[in-house]
Amino acid sequence: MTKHQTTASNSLVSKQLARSQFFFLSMSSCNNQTNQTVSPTVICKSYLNVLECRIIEATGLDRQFAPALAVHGPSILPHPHDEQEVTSEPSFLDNVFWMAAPKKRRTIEINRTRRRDPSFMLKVKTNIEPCVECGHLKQKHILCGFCYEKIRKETALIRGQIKAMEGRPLNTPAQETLVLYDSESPWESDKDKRIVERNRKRPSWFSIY
Amino acid sequence: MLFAFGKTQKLPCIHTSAALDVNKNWDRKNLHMFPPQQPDEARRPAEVHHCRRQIKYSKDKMWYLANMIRGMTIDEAIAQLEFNDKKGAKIMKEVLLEAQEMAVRNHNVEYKSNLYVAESFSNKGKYLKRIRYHGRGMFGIMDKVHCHYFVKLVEGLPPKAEQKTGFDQAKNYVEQLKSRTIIHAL
Repeated sequence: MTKHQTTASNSLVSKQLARSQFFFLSMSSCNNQTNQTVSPTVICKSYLNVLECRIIEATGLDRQFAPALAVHGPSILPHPHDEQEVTSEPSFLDNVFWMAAPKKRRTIEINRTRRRDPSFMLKVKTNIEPCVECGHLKQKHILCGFCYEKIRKETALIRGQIKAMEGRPLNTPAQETLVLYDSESPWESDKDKRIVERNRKRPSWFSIY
Repeated sequence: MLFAFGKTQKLPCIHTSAALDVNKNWDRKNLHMFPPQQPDEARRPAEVHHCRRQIKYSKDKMWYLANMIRGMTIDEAIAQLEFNDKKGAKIMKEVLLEAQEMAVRNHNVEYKSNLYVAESFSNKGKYLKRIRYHGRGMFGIMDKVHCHYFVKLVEGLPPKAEQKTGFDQAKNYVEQLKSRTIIHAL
C-alpha cells in the first residue's frame, strides 16, 4: 500500500469515526431536548451509520495500523521512538533523495576544455630582471633572494654574538647597539652605545652611516 | 639482433620487478649517432634529451608547467620556473639545469644560453595505492601519484610561431571552397 492510499483510507476511517462519534452525541442529546444543533437529516442517516460502523469494526479497518511505506531509499528505517525525532531536524537519510547528483559522466573532452581554459593556464611573468648587485634574477618589487640570504647569514652571526654577550634571555640593556668590524673604532658620539665586535672585514653592503 | 628478438618475447623470469618493465626510450635517444654530414648539408643543431622519473607530483599539474615553457629559450624557461610557486617548478628547473650542463659537456654545445626547449611533456609514473577511510565502514583506494618529466633541448633560436592574420585564414577558406570538385565524375 502506498503512502497516498493509507492516508486516504485513514481519512475515510477517521470520517467514519467522526460520524459514529456524532451519532453517539446525537443519541445522548435526544434525551435532552435543549440541544438544537442536531439536524433531522443526520438523525435519519445515523441508523445506516451504525450498520457501517459495525461492519468496519468487524473487518478491523477502524483500527489504525502503522503505515507500511514502500519507499525507494535507504534500507535503514527510523527507530520506533519517532515522537522524539519528529521535532528534531530531518536527518541526512531523509534528505538524500533530493540531493544534487551528476546525471552523466563528464567526458574527457569536456574535462579538457575546462582544464585548459586560459584562466587555469599559467601566466608568463614579465617582471623578472637581473639584480644589479649580484646578477641573480629577481622580481622587480621583491628583494633579490641571493643578496637577502647573504645579509641574513651575517645578521645571524651578529645576533649570535649579542646572545653570547647578554648571557640569558630578556637581558637587553637600554642602549643602542653598534657593530664594528676589523680595525674600526667607535666615534665620540658612540660613547653610550654597546659595541659588538666582528672579526672580519666590513662587508661592502653594510655601510657605516 | 638476437638481443632484439629476446626483447619481443616474454621470457619466463623469476626476478620480475617494477624497475625492469620501465620504458627507457627517452634516455636512449641521447645515444643515437647520426652519420657524418656532407659538406653542403646544413648544420644539424645539437639535441639533448633529458628526463626525471617518478617525481612525487601529479601529471596534470606538471602539464601546466610543461606547457608554459614549451618553445621558450632555456634562460627564459629557467627564469619563469624560478619565480613560479608550484612544487613541480623547482624540480623542472633542476632538470633543465642538468640538461643544459649535459649539453655543454657531452653534446658539443658551444654556448649554454643558445638552447631552446623543443619538447617538454609529462606523463604518469607508477602509482602507489593506499586506503582512504570514509564514513560508515566504506573505503576508497587512494593513489599516491607520481609522474615523469621529459625535456628536449635543441641548439639555436626557437622557431617563430607563424602569425596567421584573419585575412590569410579567410583567403585559405575561400580557396578550399573553390578547389572542391565532384569525385568519380565522368
